Amino acid sequence: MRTLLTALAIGLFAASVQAQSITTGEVTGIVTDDFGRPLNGVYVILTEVVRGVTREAETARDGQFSFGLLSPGEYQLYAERLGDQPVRVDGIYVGQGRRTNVPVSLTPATPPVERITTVQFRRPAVGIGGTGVFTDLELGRLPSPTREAAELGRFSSASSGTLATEGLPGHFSGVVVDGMTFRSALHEGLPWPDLPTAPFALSSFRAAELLTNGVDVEFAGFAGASLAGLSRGGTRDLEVGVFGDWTGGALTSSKHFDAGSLAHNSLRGGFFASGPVVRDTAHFFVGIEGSRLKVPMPPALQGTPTDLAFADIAASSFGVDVSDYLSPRLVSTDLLSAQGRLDWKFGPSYSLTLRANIGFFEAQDPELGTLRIPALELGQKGTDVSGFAALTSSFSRVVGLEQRIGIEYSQREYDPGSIGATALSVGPTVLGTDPVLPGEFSRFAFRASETLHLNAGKHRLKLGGTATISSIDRTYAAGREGGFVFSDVSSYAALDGLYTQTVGQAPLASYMASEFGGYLQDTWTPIPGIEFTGGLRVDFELLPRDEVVLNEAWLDLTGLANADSTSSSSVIKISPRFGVVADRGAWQVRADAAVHHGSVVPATLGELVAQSGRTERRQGFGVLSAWPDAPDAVTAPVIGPSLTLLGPDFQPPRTARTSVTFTADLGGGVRFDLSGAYRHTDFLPRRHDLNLATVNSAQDQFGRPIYGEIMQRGGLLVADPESNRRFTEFDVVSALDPDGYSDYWGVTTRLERRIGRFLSFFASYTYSETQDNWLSGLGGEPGLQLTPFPDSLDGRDWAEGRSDFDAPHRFTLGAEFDMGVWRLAGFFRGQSGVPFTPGFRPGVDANGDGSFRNDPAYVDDQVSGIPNLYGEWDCLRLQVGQFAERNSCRGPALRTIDLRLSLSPVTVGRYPVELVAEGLNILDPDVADLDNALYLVDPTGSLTIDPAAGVVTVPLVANPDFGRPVVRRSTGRVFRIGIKVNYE
Amino acid sequence: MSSGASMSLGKLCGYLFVLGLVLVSGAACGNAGADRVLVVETDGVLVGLAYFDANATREFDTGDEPLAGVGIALLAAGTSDTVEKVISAGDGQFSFPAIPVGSYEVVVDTATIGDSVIVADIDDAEVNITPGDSAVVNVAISFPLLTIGEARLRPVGRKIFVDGIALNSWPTFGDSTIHVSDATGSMRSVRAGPGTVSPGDSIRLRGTVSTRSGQKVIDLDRRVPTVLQIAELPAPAIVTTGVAASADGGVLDAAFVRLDSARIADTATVNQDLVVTVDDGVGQLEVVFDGDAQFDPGNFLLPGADIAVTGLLVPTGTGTWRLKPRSDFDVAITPPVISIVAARNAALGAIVFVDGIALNFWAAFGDSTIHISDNTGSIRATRVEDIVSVFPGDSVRFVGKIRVRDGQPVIDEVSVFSLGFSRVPPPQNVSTFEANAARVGTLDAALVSIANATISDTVTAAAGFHATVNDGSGPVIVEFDRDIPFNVAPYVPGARLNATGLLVPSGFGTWLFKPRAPGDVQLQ
Repeated sequence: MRTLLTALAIGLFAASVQAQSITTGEVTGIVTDDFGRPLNGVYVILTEVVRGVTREAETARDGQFSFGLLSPGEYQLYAERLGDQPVRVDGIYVGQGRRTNVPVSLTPATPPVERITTVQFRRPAVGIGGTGVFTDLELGRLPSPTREAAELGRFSSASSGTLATEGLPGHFSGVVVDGMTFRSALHEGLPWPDLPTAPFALSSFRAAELLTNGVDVEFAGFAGASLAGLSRGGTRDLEVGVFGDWTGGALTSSKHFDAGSLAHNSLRGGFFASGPVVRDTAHFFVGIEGSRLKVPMPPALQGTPTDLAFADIAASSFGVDVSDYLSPRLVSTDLLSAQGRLDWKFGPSYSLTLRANIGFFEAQDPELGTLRIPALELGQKGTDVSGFAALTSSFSRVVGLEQRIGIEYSQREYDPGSIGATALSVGPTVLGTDPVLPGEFSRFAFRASETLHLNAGKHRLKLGGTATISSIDRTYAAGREGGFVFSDVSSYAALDGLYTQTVGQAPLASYMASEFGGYLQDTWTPIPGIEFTGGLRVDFELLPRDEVVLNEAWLDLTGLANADSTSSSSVIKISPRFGVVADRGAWQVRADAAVHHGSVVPATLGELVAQSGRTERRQGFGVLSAWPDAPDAVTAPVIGPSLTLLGPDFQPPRTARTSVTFTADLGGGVRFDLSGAYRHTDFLPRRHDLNLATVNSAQDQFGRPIYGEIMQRGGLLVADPESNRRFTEFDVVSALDPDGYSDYWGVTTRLERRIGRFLSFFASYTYSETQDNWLSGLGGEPGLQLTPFPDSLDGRDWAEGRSDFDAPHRFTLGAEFDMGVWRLAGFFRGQSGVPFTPGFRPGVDANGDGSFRNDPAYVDDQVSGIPNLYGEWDCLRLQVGQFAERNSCRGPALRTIDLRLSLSPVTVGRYPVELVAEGLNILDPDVADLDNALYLVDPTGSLTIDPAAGVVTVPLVANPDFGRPVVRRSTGRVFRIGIKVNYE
Repeated sequence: MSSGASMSLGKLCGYLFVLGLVLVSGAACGNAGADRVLVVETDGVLVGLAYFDANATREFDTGDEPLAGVGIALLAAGTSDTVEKVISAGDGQFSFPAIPVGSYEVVVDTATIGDSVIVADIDDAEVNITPGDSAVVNVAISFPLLTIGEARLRPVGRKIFVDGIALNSWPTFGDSTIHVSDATGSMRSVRAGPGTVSPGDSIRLRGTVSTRSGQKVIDLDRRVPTVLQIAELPAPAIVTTGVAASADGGVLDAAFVRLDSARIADTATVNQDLVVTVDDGVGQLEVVFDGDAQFDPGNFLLPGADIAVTGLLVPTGTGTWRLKPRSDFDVAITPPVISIVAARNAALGAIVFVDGIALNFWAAFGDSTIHISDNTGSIRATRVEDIVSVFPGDSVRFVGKIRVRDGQPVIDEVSVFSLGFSRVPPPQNVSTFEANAARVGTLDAALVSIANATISDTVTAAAGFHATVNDGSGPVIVEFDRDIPFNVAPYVPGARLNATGLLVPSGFGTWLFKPRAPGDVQLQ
């Protein structure tokens, strides 16, 4: 009975609140007698189950004990005192950054004591963590397409598989492993980061959480979310595991294309081992995974009559075989990742962790993402290395110290194909090397942090500092490979079209970026179950202004110096944090408010360094001298140098976020979360063209301001490059101003349930709205990032509107049925479609600002064919008589289902053999870039100019294919079969 | 830690929480970066001066005048969009005080400057307005500066500037006409003011398009051409007489041309000008030696002489052109020299040019006869002009008419031109018989020698002392000219002699052997 009471007592009072460290947890408690009086002199031993490492303490007069800086995981606590019957508490789970309270009650017993009271710690469902904590289900038992850590994001209804979270792009989020940040060398010109966590296989994580609003002052550097993971460590006993799976042949199919005879055998395999080096003291983990994935995808060209005619002309007139573009393409990716970790506890107070991760990948014809041209013959390589060391010191109950150092190296290389980007405006036929390629990116960083923990009664203070020194090299400028746009096949045959290319010195940006920070945080527990956390973090980021070559010509013209367009060479970033938790065991309310700053995006600084006038843009509009080779300088002369400046008081994006989360333990293994979040991010870099003509020269028939003089050739519409510039000596002069913002609010509800081993599931739904004025989020060519109405539209900023990342509805569901011999797991994700803006085809610069594809269409029901689209596209009907609002239309919703069936029919010796079958992308949705052109420029018509009225009438016809797929990106259904063997 | 200290720390933390909330709330509201937008600051200033450019220098300098009321507009670069427009003030000044910085084009509202002038020049018509600095743009209103080709196409009465190379100096032809040329053609400027213009000067003319003799000219109305610099005279166009006479259909009007070779057909003096009609086989052309040009064409300006002329084509007003050399240096006359044998066969009365070696002094025989020879033969020149400086052995050119004396052709009324010094050719050895018949006439007037001739008879005649000599082949009479101081006493029959002399026809089918000096005769 007393045992039961003890157990109940433990269950009632068990709670978990904010702990001191972001990578470790804390176990505290009080030992009392039957009457609740504190007992001193009780010997308390805490044992980490996995490794067998123990920590010891003795209660003071107040009966309290505390174990800080504990590695997350399952623990066992043993309490005894002479004259009392010992108690062992099993199943204590310590989460990263969490403090678990374990009250213990001892009952007097007359020596000799012959038995130990064993109780099971009631794991408080509400105390495990916020809505972002990934469960075991998500960490390893659900189907996994890539086995990369970033894939965890797709399980969150507030994020995605690219860690694009709460309305911000994926590269705003980052990975923090064992408390150490890792950044890959990203190509920010692509809409989503590729393999951002290449060195971190999903299996290398033993715990992970998607922190969208980390209150702890140690979280910094990302304006988006942080995927905080804990790497797998050693074990008490030797454990070895291997796995392998295969897919190919008939196991892949799609209703959107026929892979046919395309060989696409894909293999994945891995090995890991963990165990003791010195039992109870030092442990190791090593793991390696490799994969060779070949993913068939739909043809780059859909085989329309225009596509076929294009291919014929390419072969007959230019001797270029593009037939491969008419066949299914194959995305091949070789990935190898490895991790090693050594934990060494030396003495009662110190532990050392060493970890190294490495990842290599090489891809052929990689999928570049939405709106990017699916090219063939592209090459991509990447290397990521992460090294880490941490020394944890517990000097006493009061003082602890964490010291971490880390190095990282990341490199990405994108090689172009043999054909430059080529599009037929009225096709639409699009193929070749996307203008945002190629590029080489690398970064090396050294990071160090030191954090002092002080446990002062009801206050837990944290004081520390960080330093990051990065070396970044980028060889990149958008448009180096050039791009062609022709009106139609006949103009293509005559090489009568548009060509643009960035030329000049290799746009190499090589610079150092340093960041230093200091922080102070207090966690105050005035009464049990109520906890306040307040902290302040101050960072200094040094901008590489000295690396920028002064463009004296621009300085003379405008008084603006590109070399010191920032008011200071450093940025001070102040990040206050605030949180309060009311934890009553069965329910918990958490309110957080925090400011997070990102770092200046390398793409921004790289562009500042590289675009100092050393690169120029050339453009030809008319009969070009060559294809696919670059036309000569006669038919495509240089327009002028490009230049980039930073806006005044430039600083990296800053996110302020508040959230309230209610979590309830509904009993029966059911956990319910309801959270609301508001995020405001400002200082987003927006691109403005400082060299656009000061006033528009005319307007089109809809009142759209036109800069310069536009010229028509067939279905193309291009501004005379001499006419639309403020200073004719320059081409586009970009100001990257920090005046962008993004607002997000969302409500998320999540339900988790675990019914024994039979059923585990979670379901999460998020409704959100994201608005911003930021056209740069998806990257791409600089022109895409320019607002089409630089002088405002009806007194407002047209760019303010629905974000590119707005997805109002997101739903995720994961479940596993465990029937012992077989287990069935499945994951469903559904979300709103991708928003887009009705506009024009490539090669149409409707407002003459020198940029293509950034102009919205005016919804005019007087144009024949437009009303016919209303039935399918309500977004058009609602906007008749006005310029289309940004992202006012939306593509079809996206839904995916992945399944996994595991069978454990046999055990060979001590080796349990598990057969695994996975079915990925079962629903096979038609993922595609949609044709956003509402109009085509009528090639049979011509511009009508009314000089007196200043009106240029552009001949337009409705595009009957509006909203139809242009480029399909479905990966089809994939079935994998594999085997998994664990030795424990 | 004491309870008091804990409470103080608690209060501090409480304040920090409140501060944190305020900071977070502040960051979460509004767009903090909204005003952090880089702009090309403010406006710039553009000022300038509108003036009449009186000398086409396109700079405001001496003689130029400020112009009021000129409309100046500023266009956005590369477009026809007027950003702003102003009118020049009374002092010609104009100003755009507040223009957004950028590239612009300055243009003039031509409606404000009238038809007779144009916008000749705008300094930096493409101008960058930059912050802090005032751009200065001057606008030159003037007459158009044209090429000659353009000027010829302008209607009569239009005022223009023309730059070209002067082809003659102001006083060359005694009037005020200066021919100019450039790469597009040539043209006459008339009524030029007196000034120092030399052929080859690059000059600027300001005048009015007019016509003279049916061709466009620039009427300078006594304005003095402005010499811009010393340039190189263009090479003359090579023409034929036919082309020159028509100025190649007018294309070469006023042009600087060269006639390489033509035959003088006629010469005449008209109004103090020497008009020489020449023909190279494709038509006749009149070459006018302007009476004001102080020509000295020399003695060969004769019909039949070849002539090369460089000069300027001047219309006659009747659809033809004349060629006017500017000085003697523009003319080269080449006489039609023929051989002696050709001269001997020439028609009677024909004027011939013969080059040869003089065989005797002028007046050696008391008359003005000189024998000359070349490698084709010999001939006598009679009535040679009074040139005493001709010596035997001189290379000379004889110009005269073919006549007959004593049955043999001679060059009569001869003008002599010394060509230099040479040597008397060696005499031909002949027998007395051959000398008597001049070897069937072929040695008429030739210098010959006889040897071992024995005097058979002597007689004193009016022309001198005659001795008949014979070397055994036949007799010949040796005439010792009375005007030569021969000592004839030893010349008695039976005496034998060797002699050199000229064969002179007797008029009776025989030739006399005439020694030229006592040294020509040696007694044995």
